Amino acid sequence: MRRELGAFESALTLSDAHAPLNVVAVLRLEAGPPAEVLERGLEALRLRHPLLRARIAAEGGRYFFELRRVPAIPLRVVPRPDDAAWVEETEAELDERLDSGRGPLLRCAYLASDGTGACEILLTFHHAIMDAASATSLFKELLTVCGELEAGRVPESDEAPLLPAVEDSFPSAFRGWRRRQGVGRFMLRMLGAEVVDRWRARGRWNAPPPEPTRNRILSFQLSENETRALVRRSRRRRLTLHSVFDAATLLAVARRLYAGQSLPLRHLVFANLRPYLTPPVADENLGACFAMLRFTTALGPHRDLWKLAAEINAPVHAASKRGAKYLFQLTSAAAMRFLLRRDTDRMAATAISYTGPVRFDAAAPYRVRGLHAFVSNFRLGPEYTAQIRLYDSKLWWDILYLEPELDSPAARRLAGDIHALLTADETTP
Amino acid sequence: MTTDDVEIDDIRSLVCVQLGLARVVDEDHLVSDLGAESADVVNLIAAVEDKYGIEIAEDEIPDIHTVRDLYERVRGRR
Repeated sequence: MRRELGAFESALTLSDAHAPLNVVAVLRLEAGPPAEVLERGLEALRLRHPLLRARIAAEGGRYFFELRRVPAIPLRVVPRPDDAAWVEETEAELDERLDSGRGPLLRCAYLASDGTGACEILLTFHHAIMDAASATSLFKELLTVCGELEAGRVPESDEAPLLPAVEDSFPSAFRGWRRRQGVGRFMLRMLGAEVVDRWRARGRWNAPPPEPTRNRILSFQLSENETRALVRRSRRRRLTLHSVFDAATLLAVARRLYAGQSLPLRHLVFANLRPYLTPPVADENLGACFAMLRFTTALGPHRDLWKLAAEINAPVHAASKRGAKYLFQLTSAAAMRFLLRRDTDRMAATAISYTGPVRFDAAAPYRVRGLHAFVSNFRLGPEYTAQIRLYDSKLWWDILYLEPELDSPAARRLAGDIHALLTADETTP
Repeated sequence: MTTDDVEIDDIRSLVCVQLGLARVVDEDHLVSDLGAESADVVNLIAAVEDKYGIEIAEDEIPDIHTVRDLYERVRGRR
């Protein structure tokens, strides 16, 4: 069985061929299953989800998921000398490419207990097979299956479908001849915006760092009270949390990486397409059902967080209403080829993904201490990226930066600025 | 008005105003049927909070799929 990759899946695969593009999701447990149960759990998932039995075949500039002769999901049991061991392991996973031509497109590392019972499960997957929604769902499924196996039961579930390319499920206004027309107009508009942005920036954007670069991570959380206060403030101003996070990150990056200059900065935001597809796609079905959108916003030395968030919120909302999330998806492979061929430009200054609330069933067999997620970056990618989610009534920020472009103290100062902006006392009503 | 007095008609009207629609039905899914974007959902939730003096936590929002779900939440039944 085979299925051609869609435009965005192809863009992700092109990017991965240039430099590793792994998603590493980290599930931290108070106590986990024995390694042999985890191995059987992974096998049960592999049998259920076609994309976990897939590899990516390249033929004449096109890519195909092939579901033949793909080995089992590799499981590596790793010593856990201390509670922070997962950080170094995650950084190593981000830098090591999956062999997509051979498959599978997922591997697992298990940081087994150091005697306290605590452990971490690291799932590293090719972005073309999974998004944040399906990765979270896969973790829930894995815990349920392992719980069943530990209880001596055989987990039962029907085989999940292999989803079509996401653009085949776009709304009718973005299919057929209307799609071609829309894509043509959109590409012209993007080209025009590119010229204007470059003229306004006049060479002040940071150049890509030289090779080699290394993915480095850091995390912080907003407390329950800070989270509640931030949600209230955002909602009172009718702003999405995504816009506020985007504004805070841009302000911190402008200050620390651009010395507070007045200049336009580009930022990537991500949209979950699952509920907008026809028919809507459940989180349980693996796939990369998301879109990446790029915007440009003027920054200056004394920008107010809330005003900037409002300036971001409005065009993102308007673009989403116009269907830009579909058009960005459809043009993503061409844009990625252009970026890689030029090899001189960064995609953006920042990239923010807010995936919303995440919950694990309180009755699940293993208690979850935390959930982290990171996506590999490379020298042409954004300068500072964050994956954010709401878990256990707190906002969890997972930040990724490239070394040597940034060192650990500089990345922490930037994260500290973001935290301070988000939790500052209000000075305006 | 207390939340006990809220009728589903009130919620339907609020959804219509916030999403710029002429008519909705109770089982309409806010996102997949009515095309609400995340900013629309924020506006709608904030409007409900202001009108009925309640607070809806961020992690409750994924449970509010339809117009009826929103009504049930305002009535405190969810």
